[in-house]
Amino acid sequence: MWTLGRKIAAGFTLSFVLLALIGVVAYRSVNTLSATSYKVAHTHEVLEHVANLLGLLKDAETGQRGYVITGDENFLEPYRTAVNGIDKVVKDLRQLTADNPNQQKRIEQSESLIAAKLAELKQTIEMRRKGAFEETAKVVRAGEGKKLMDDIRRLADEMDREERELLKQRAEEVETAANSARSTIIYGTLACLVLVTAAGVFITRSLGGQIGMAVRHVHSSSAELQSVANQQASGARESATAMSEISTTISELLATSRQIAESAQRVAHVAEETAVAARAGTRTVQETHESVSGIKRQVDLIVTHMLDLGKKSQQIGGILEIINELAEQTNILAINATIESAGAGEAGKRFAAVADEIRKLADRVGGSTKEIRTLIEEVRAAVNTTVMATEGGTKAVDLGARQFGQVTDALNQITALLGTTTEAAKEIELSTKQQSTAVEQVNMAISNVAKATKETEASSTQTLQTATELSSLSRDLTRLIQPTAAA
Amino acid sequence: MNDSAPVAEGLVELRGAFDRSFAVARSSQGADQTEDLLFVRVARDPYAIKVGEISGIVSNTKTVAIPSRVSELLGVAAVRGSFLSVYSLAALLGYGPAGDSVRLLVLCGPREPIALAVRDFEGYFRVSSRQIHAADQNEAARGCVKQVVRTADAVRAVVSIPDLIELIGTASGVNKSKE
Repeated sequence: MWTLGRKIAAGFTLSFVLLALIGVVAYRSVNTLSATSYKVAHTHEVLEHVANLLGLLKDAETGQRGYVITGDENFLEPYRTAVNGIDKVVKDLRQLTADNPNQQKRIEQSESLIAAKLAELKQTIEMRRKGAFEETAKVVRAGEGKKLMDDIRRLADEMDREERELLKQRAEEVETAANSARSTIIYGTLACLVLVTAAGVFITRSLGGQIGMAVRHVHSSSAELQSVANQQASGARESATAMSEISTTISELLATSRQIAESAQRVAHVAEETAVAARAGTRTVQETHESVSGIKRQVDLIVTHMLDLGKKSQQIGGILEIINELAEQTNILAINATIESAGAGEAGKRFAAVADEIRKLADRVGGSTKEIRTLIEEVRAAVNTTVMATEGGTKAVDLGARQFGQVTDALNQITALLGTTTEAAKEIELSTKQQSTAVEQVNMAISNVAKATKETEASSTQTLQTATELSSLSRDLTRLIQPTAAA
Repeated sequence: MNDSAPVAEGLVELRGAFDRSFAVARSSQGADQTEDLLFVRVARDPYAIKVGEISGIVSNTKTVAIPSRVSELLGVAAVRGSFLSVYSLAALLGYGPAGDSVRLLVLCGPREPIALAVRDFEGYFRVSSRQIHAADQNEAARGCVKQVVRTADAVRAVVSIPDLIELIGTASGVNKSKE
């Protein structure tokens, strides 16, 4: 795409070329016209010389004739003037027609004829001066002089015709050159006007389009710049506010860091005390573990005793079965005794009473054995429950012992970790102090940034004003370039 | 520890009752007419047997099965030097085949070599005669129950041993041979 300068340069170059062409053509036409005019003048001069020559010859002949007729020397004055001037005229004529061989040839012919004429005139004059009028008239009547004069006139006419031909030819050349120059100037000027107008219109339109587009771009860019400047100003204000909040927060952070450092120092102190307590706890837990081991042994012993008690209960149950069996047998015996005593009549009544009481006793024994069995079952159930509970207790004691071991390990680990915690707390204290220093530096940096942000806000406002002015300027430019578009 | 106190009290009471039975006059004991009964259970149904209708009871006696066309006959047993035919009381009362275990044999009398096998023996009880009533038609099983005894917890059918002996005799064909 052609640039603006290039288009303008192209337009001016085209106009310059056309003007130069017209100038060259006009110069050449003027030169030609001038040369032709010079040649016309030259021809007129030649014609004048030819006429002068012919006039001088006529003057010489006139003087000769006057003198011949009158014998008065005064009539020879034109003769003498002509004779003195003819050579110069012929010489000039030779020089003037040096570029024309035909004229040179005629001049050569004329020179001999002029010389002959002048000789004839001189002869007649001399003859007249000598008084030989008749002889002189005779010579004149002989017509030699006339013949020479006619020849000279003929040559002069030829020279005159040729020169006039040349004059006519050069006049045509002048006309041609003038016409050419006129045409060149007119048409060239018209063409130049057309081209310059076209170039102007083209450049104007092109410039209008390009500059309008550029101006619209500038307008759009200025609007965007305005928006960006607005956003930037707003952002700068928000950044300034945020920086202020950050500065406040960092100040709080600084105070917090100092508190953390103090807390870390206290944590280190507490961790050391905790390590001492944990070591004491470890010893206590070890002692407790030993106590739990003793409890476990006692519980195992209780379980053993309870199992023995269960076995004894089973044995009691077996014995009780025997007693129950005996009671049943006694009951049956008593029933049989009752039956037998009933069969014995009156004598058996007292025995029947005894047997009845024995039967009742056996019944009561049976009932008691049932109660005892129930009690024994309850005892066995209680023993089983106790054994199970004791076994649960044993498991709990085992678990407790294991947990005490784990607690011991944990306490040892806690002791070790507390050492690490103490070191870490000291490191935290040191790091927090360093962090406080860094935070102070950050605070200073934030203050500087806040200042820079305020300056940015100011520059953003300035940018906004500039963008607004640029937008207005672009609208003015648009209005200047494309009034309709701007409207 | 007071857990042993009820046992001791029971023992004292038992001893006192035993002693009182001998101290009280006989006349006072016979003021009310009583009936001695054996309480048994047949297939969870309560029954009673009059002590006066039997000659004794034995337990843990081995019964030897013998082939017989009488389904109620479980076998024979040796009791007090005699062979007895052992019949299932449950089968005789119409509860189907006899059970597997026999706890007690009820001897039906010195003249009848018959014993009744009882599985569940509840005890010996003395009841008032007013508690014994005649059985209605529904309560009579195969004609061997004619009375019932009403106790505090249940109404028990009183099995008539003579009727059972007659029933056994009818079933085994002994009565026909006598006729």
